[in-house]
Amino acid sequence: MKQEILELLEDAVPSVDFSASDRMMDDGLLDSLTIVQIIGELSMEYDVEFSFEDLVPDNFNSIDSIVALVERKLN
Amino acid sequence: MVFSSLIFLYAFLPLCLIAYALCHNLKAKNICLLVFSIIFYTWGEPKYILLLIAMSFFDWLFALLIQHTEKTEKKKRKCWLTLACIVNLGLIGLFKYGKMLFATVGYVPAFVENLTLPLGISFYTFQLLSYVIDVYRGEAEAQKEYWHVLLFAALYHQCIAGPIVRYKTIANELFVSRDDKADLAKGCFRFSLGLAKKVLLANTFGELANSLLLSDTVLSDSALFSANNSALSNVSVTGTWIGLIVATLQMYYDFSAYSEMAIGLGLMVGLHYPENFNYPYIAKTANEYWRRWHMTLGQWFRDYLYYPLTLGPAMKIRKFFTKKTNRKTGMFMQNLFTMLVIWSCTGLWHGAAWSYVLWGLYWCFFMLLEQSFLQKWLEKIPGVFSHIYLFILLMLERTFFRFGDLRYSLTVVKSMFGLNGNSFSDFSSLTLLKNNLFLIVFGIIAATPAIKLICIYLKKKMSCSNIGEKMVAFVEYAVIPVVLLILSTGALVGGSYNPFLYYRF
Repeated sequence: MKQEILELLEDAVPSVDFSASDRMMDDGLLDSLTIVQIIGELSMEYDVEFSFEDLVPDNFNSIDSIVALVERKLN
Repeated sequence: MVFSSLIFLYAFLPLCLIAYALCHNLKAKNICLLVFSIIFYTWGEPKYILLLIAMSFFDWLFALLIQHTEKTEKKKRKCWLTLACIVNLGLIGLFKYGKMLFATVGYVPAFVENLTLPLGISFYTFQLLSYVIDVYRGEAEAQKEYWHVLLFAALYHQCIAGPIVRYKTIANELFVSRDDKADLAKGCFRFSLGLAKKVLLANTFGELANSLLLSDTVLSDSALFSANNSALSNVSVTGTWIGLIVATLQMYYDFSAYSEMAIGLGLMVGLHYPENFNYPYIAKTANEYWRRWHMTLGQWFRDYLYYPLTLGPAMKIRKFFTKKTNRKTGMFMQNLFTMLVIWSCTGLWHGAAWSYVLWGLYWCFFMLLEQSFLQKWLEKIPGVFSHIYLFILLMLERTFFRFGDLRYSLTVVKSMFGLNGNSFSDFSSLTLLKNNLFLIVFGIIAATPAIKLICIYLKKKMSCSNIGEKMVAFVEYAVIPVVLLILSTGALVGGSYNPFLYYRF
């Protein structure tokens, strides 16, 4: 699933290097527009809904945390 | 009472700081701040102090109700939040937008006609809303004490003109613990810098703009419309451009100075407010400009409107259009919907008239263009062209923002390009430019980080030795504030022009 999400996001947001940091949100690599783009892609692909509570650094700091978030939503 | 008035500088502020220094614990200090804040607000707006007190009470109550409702009872919690939003937005809707809304349907009741805009309502309503929403989201604890919420909303540093401080940003320093001595000198420095920006630069640029493009008082008199319009159409091309440039400088120095003074006042008592400006005029695009101008308003809209919209209704729109057409259209429609709502609201926040919605949509249009393709184009060409692009956007926007009436704006836009049959230049505009060239150039340079960078460099050079470090601190925290205070006082005693543009919000 990780590879699938990585490919999806690299295609949708080519400006972000998802392997560059494991503190992407903390380091300011993801701005609000990019996060919304990521959520949009995930929401469309996996038909899951996100809420404001999900918009915390722990969920977007790395590709692993994004994968974990999607897995939680699917379960 | 404005920060840049003699009564504030030589009576209110010293008295407040002395009383504050005499208090020995946090509770007493906060009570002192509350008393002075109430006096400050009542001085400027005796009629509407009750509105501020009442709105704080409602939000205190709703936040408590939200917190005391079990998290599993989502509907009930949402119901309290919705009620809080209805009360806050309903009151600002009545007092700020009542006339506009009723005028749209063609009948304005007498009681609405007589309503005036309560001082700072746009700022403190947003702050109070941030409090209730933060409690709802679990990002902040509800205050048990009502007067704590009132203090947060009424704090004279930022109550009437920002920065818009989110509750969770300041709650700990305000109510738990703060070191109010560590940044006292820095606070005095920031305040004096803001004061000088306002009195020495903003007011002077304001007077220059008025002499070229008429004053706010004259422009707001509808009986003088024909005479004003004719006067504006006769201003030479050079005069119009100089007038708009100095008006643009006035706008920046006026508002950023007030934020700087508010930040300085906060530091004097150990409160750290967020920065509100980051050299907006060095931006190259509309998107960047709005990330640098009135940042706390942008952050408020991002956290409390942009995210909820994008995750909720805008996502549904995206899904709908993706299914019906393709992924790209879906994304575009989601962004379009969110941006239209956000920028209509930003426009309305700045003024209670439909023309302000148009102003918001003007920015929205260029931001969408940039997001679609323009930014990529601008990145490929030399930076100077991007600056020229933003400069033209700003000049056109100022024709609206300064005059507030689209008919005047149209006349001034025509004058900018000599389309009113106006001359290219005239003697009085050129004389005014020659006499104030140094000031205008200084104003432009000071709106960039150049002076700050030079100061940092000099500070670093001089701080090599112990004596040098002490000298730098002495100059920064003693000489500069005193000199700026003396200069500003001189200008205030001698001058009569001391408006504050963002008061009308």
